[in-house]
Amino acid sequence: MSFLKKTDNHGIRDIKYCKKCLMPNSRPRIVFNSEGICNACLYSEEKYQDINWEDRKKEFLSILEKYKSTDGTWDCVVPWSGGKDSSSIAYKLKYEYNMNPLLVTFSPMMPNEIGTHNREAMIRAGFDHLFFRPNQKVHRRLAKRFFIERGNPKVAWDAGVNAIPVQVALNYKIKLVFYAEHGETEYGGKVIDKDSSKIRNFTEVIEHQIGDDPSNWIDDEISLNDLQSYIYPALPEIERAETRAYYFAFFHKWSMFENYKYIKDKIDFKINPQGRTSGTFTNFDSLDDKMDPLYYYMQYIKFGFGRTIRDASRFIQNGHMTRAEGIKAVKAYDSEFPKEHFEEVLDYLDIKYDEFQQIVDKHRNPEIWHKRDGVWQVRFPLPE
Amino acid sequence: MVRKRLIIVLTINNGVLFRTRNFIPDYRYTINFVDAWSVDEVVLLDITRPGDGDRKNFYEVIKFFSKNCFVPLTVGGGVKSINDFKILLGMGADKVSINTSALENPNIITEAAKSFGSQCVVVSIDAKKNSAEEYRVFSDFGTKETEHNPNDWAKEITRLGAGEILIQSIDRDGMLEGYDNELNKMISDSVNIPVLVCGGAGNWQNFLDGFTKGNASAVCTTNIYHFTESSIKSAKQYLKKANIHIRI
Amino acid sequence: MCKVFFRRKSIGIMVIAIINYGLGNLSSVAGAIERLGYKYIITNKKEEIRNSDKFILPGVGAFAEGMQNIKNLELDKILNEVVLEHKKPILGICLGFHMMAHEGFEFGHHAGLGWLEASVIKFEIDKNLRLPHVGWNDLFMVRESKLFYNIPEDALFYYVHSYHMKCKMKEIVTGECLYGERFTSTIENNNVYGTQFHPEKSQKWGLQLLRNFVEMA
Repeated sequence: MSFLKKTDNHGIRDIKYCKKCLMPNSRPRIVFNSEGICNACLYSEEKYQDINWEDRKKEFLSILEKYKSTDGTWDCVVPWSGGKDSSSIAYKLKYEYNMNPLLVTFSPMMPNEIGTHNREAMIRAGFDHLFFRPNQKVHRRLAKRFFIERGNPKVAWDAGVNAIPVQVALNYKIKLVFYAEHGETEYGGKVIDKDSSKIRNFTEVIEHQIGDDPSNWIDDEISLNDLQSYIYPALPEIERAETRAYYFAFFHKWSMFENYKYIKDKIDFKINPQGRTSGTFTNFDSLDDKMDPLYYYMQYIKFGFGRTIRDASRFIQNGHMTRAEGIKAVKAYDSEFPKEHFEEVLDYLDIKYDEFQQIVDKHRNPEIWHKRDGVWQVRFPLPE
Repeated sequence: MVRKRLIIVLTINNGVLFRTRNFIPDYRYTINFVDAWSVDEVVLLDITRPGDGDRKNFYEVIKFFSKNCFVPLTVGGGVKSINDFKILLGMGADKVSINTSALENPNIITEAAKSFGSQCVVVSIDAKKNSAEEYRVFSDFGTKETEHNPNDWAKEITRLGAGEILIQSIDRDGMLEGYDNELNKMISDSVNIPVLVCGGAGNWQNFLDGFTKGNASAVCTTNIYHFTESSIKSAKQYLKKANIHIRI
Repeated sequence: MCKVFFRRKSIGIMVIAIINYGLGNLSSVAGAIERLGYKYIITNKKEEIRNSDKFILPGVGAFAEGMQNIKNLELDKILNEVVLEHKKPILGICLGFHMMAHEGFEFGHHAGLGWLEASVIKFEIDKNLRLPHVGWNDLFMVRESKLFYNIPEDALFYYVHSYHMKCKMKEIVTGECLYGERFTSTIENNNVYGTQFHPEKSQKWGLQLLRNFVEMA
């Protein structure tokens, strides 16, 4: 079907790892400085030293002051998964800042017990919640399509996670939307301008995550009617409604570890009963979707970093782990196959096992992988 | 009658497929998920900055496409001489695109048309409005303003023997907000050779507008996600439903 | 040399020669033939041409320069021999097709190979018609041809030209196309075949047409 094969020599470069954390230069859009340090590490240094958090807090308070509800209506939307990050910001917004948040969830592709439990625990702590689950005939079809085409089953889900909270904000005339953190700033990538870390730029999201306008996904079985969950409201409409989406992390020193500690103190937050999530050493991150292990595994296949590198890098940046410890964890877990719920995932995607293997191999980035003696090997493994 | 065309433009930076935003290479893609049988033509543009990297890497990409790609291939970027034309045509290009060299030495258009035929010669124009809100042609990766007005330049290059014009909006490139159809229509209406429009296409409605508002003979997209069989089929169905005479 | 000739014949491998006269996208044609699974040689050498079984005369460029190159390489002589005397099948594509005519009018008046009673002339100027004619267009099959085997009526092919062939003998015209006016798209005159469009650039149906040429008896 594909008329293009991969070759080994298209401007292939050597893979290098950040000297401080463990992120490789194959992470899309990451930038290393002349000393080999990635922009996420530089930001985290800045985070602890150069940023005036007092000023930022003042700015945050003035925003809240402007929009805080005085008549009981919801005054902010929190796109919410039930995980430690979105839950901790929702909790703070309500119980520390006295806002009236409406939690909006775009359903995980394959919800699991932990996610459901953690969401219920939060609702019991006193929150209003809108749970949106998209048409699964369409969602599964798109998941399969993008898994095959891009090696990412969550493209449509990404579009929905972005679109639905804003559609809700517009419909309920809520002017504030609080996202957690700006990935490019915190974890390495392209920061278009200084406002990108503060205000969510939707064009950026389209360009970097979704890649294409969801209205383009019409095909023989999917019509425009079926795509409403994924289509972001028109920017002029958002401007007219004066709706703005901010990153909570811009105004507060961000650490996923701190978020976890905070929320487990406040609600009955469950962690991975297996002790550790497959592909990493952590047990408290990204727990709510059975699709996630495959999603992160494909990140490993395409970009050479799995969940362990991702989690370890964050830990290192926040001073919770040394680089040596990180390397150890990476060697142990980073390449782990996503065996949790694997059969169910294959079924959800409507793919058989051999087809699955072919698709995975098709997405092996030739910069990261080569085949030696019939076995796929990483060209530049993390040095000790 | 001849069909309208949907063309994929791939910008290659030192042999690696890159996305651009306002002509600046933004980030890299791997080619391995590019896969489309229904596309009408492919354009490969070498956007490697002078001094950066090895031209041979671009040649590898051309050979790769020409071996596996059974649709017309236009190749451009850094073409300076008739010899460059020869090399690229020999490697599998069907048409060669020139831009800055045509501005520096317009005779190259005539020479190339004489040697290889007008149909091999695509002249690419990069344009945007300058500070006085007037459209101007820019050279050197859209960085240097020339005194040419795109309209007049289009007429001139047609007179000199260009076979097709590729008009690119610098401001719209990578912005996913649609084409600059004011610019497109201006160029298309001023010449009688085919005009290919590029820069800013995000969704299928943008393609449609390129034909109906921009009077294009062909619409181009640089979005890699459009270069899959599903996307091309979807786009073409959309255009067909809107009565555009396009090859399905 | 004789040894090679006999061995080739006894194994029964057909030799397809793609004529290299310095103009044209040889690698695309070669790639297409290879994709079909057939062996080919790219040549302008007399002996190799003489010993080949079928020929493809590709071409992208100007009539005058094309004919000049053909003459300089003395290809007209050898091609006349294999085509007119030995009656081996030849397929001309675009410029290659044009050169098979008596005369061409691009950049002046020039003589072609003269195998077809035809002239290569420019499309009529029409303010609604952009030239060159570039893109995917129809092939109206007006007569039967071995080249059309298994190709549906609505197949599209890729055209890119400003000049087209006007044939004196209508019987040799097997296919036409419409661009402002109807013009000759394909011809068949005994062992001489020609297409205005580029089958090597016309994906599925173009490949089928090339297959038909290569596999015909």
